[in-house]
Amino acid sequence: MLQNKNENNKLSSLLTKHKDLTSLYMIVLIIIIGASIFIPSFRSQQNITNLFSQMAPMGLVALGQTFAIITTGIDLSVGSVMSLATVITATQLDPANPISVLIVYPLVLGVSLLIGSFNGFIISKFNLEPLIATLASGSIINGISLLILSHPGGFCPRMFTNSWLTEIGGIVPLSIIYFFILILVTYFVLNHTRFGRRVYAIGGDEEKAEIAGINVDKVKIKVYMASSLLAGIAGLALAARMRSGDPISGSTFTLYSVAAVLVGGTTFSGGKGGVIRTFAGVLILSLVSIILNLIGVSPFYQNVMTGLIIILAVINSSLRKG
Amino acid sequence: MHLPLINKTLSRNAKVFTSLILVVVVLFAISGIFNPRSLSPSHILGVVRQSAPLGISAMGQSAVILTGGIDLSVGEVITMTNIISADMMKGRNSRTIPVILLLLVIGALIGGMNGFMIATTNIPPMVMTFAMSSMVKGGYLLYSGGAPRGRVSPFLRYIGTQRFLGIPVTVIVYTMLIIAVLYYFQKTKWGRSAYFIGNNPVAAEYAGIPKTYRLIMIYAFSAMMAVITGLILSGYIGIGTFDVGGDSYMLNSIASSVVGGNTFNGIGNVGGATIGALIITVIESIMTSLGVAETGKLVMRGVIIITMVTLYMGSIDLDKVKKFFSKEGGPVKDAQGN
Repeated sequence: MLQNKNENNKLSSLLTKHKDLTSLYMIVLIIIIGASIFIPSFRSQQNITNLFSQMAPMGLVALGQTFAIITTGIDLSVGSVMSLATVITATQLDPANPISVLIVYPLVLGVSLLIGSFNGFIISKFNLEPLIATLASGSIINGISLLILSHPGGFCPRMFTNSWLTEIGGIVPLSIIYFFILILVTYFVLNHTRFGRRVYAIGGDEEKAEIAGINVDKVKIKVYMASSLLAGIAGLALAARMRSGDPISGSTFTLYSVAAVLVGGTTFSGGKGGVIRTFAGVLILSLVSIILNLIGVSPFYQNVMTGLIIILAVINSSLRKG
Repeated sequence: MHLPLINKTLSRNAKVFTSLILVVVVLFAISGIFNPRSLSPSHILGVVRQSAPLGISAMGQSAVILTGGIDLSVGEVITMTNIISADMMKGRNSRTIPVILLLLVIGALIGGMNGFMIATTNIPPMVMTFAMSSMVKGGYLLYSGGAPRGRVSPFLRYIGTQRFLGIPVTVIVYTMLIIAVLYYFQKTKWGRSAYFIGNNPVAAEYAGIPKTYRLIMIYAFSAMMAVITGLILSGYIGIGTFDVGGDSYMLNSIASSVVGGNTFNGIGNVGGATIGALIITVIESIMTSLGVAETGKLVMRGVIIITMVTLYMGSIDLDKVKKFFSKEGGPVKDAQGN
C-alpha cells in the first residue's frame, strides 16, 4: 500500500515536472511557428544557419553555467575564459603549420580546466562567495588575455575554422552539432552518473550532503572545472566564428549565460533544473535576438526589449516553481 | 544574551577598519618610495578626489550587497547621467539644479523598480539589475540617438575640477555625503534595516520590517548614488560621452564594497566602501606611475578581492587546507569509497 502511494507520488511529481518542461518548449515552438508565418526571411536557409552558429557559443557556455547554478553557485568568470580561449587560439595558430591546431585544442582546454580548478579550490577551501570569487578570478583572467593580445587581432586559419563552421547539407554548421552532442553528454553526466546526483544533492542541501558522506569540496571543484571547460569550448567556437581573437569578446556572454539558465527555469535556490531546461532558455534568447533583428527593430530598442524579456521570462519560470 | 553578538560584530568592524587604514597607510608609503612628491597633502587630496566617484557608487552598492543582493545597473546609470546632464544643461548654470533633481528622480525610479521587482517576485537581484541595465542602456542610446552632445554647466565643472582653499570641491562634497550616508545607515530606523534584512530576512520579517518598502529604498539609494557619481564624473569630464567608464564602475564598486568589509549577509558597514575605494584607487595610481599596463591593474584587482575576502571570512578552515595538502589525512571517504 505504502509503496503504491509512493509510486503514485513519484509519478505525479514526474508528470508535473514534464508539464513544466512541455510548456517551456511550447513557448519555443510558438515563437518559431509565429516567426515562420509572419517573417518570410526567418524561413530562409541563410537565417537558419545564422541562428545555429550564433546559438552555439552561448549554448555551450550556458551548459557550463547550469552546473554551477544547480549547486547554488555561479560562475562569472566564464566570459573571461572565453576571451582567453579566443586570444590563445588566434595567437597560437600558425597557418603554415597544421600541427598547431593539434596543440591549440589541448592548450585551451587545459588552461580552462586549470582556471576551473582554481575557482573551485578558492570557493570550496576558502569558503568564498562564488559570485565574488569568480568575479575576481575573471578580472585576473581578463588581465592575462590583455597581456597576450592587447587588441582584437590574430588570425584563425581555415584548417581550424573548418572544423567548426563547415555546414552539413549547407544548413547545419558543425559547431551546433558539437553543442547537441555536449547537451547529451552533460545530460547523461548530470542525470545518470554518481557525480551528477551529487551535484544535485549539494544544490539541495549542502550540509546534509556532507553528512551523507559526499566529499562536497571535491564535487564543487569538479563543477567549476566543468563550467570552465565548457566556457573554453565556447571560446573555441567563438574564435572560429570571428576568425580572430579579441580580449573582451566574451564579456557579454557571462550574464547572458546566467540569463539563459534562469529563463530555462533552473533557479538559484539550487538542486533543481538541468541542461534540457537550459537549452530551452538558450533557444528563447537567441530566437528573440534574431527575430528583433529581422523585423528591423532599432538596436537601441533591442536593449530595452532584451531586458524586458529576461525579466518576464525569469519571473514566469520562478512563479511556476513556487 | 544579545550582548556577546553585538560585541562580536563591533569588534569585527573595528578590526576591519584598523586593518583597512593600515593597508592605506602602507600603500601611501609604497607610493612615497617610488615618488617622494606623492606624499604631499595636495597630492593625497588629489588621490582622495580621484577615489570619490568610485567611493560614492560603492556606498550605494554596499547597501545593496548588505541585503544579500547585487546591483549591476550602476554602470549604465552613471553613463545615462552623463549623457542626460550634458544634453539638458547645455552649459547653463540656471539649469543645474532642475537637471540634478530630475536625474535623482529618474535614478530613484530605476532603483525603485529594481527593488520593487526583487522584493515582490522571486527574480534574483543579479538578473533583475542586469536586465534593468540593458534597458537603461537602450534608453540613453535612444535619447541621444547614438551621438551624445552638449556640455555640463560651469557650476558642475567647478565641483568636478576646482579647489576651494586648497581642498578639491569634490572632496568637500564627498565628505558631506559620507557623513550623511553614515548617519542614515547607522542611526536611523530605515538605514539600519539594510543590515537586518541581510543578516536574517525571516527574523527581519517577524520584527515587522516592511521588506518591500525597505528594499525599494535601498535599491533606489544605490541608483541615486550612481547618479551622483555620474554627476561628479560629468563635472570632471565636462561633456557628454559614452566613454565615462561606467562599465568599470560596475565591477569596481563591487570590489570596493567587498574590500571595505561588506558581506552578503548584513555584516559590514556602508562607510567601509569608501576606504575600499581609496585602496583600489591608490593601487591603480601606483600601477600607473610604475608604467604597468591595464593587465597589472586587472590582475591586481582580482588578487586583492580574493585576499581581502579570504581574510575577512576569518573562517579558512585550516584543518581543511592541511587535509588537502596531506594525502594521509585525506577527506572522509563517502559510502561508495570515493
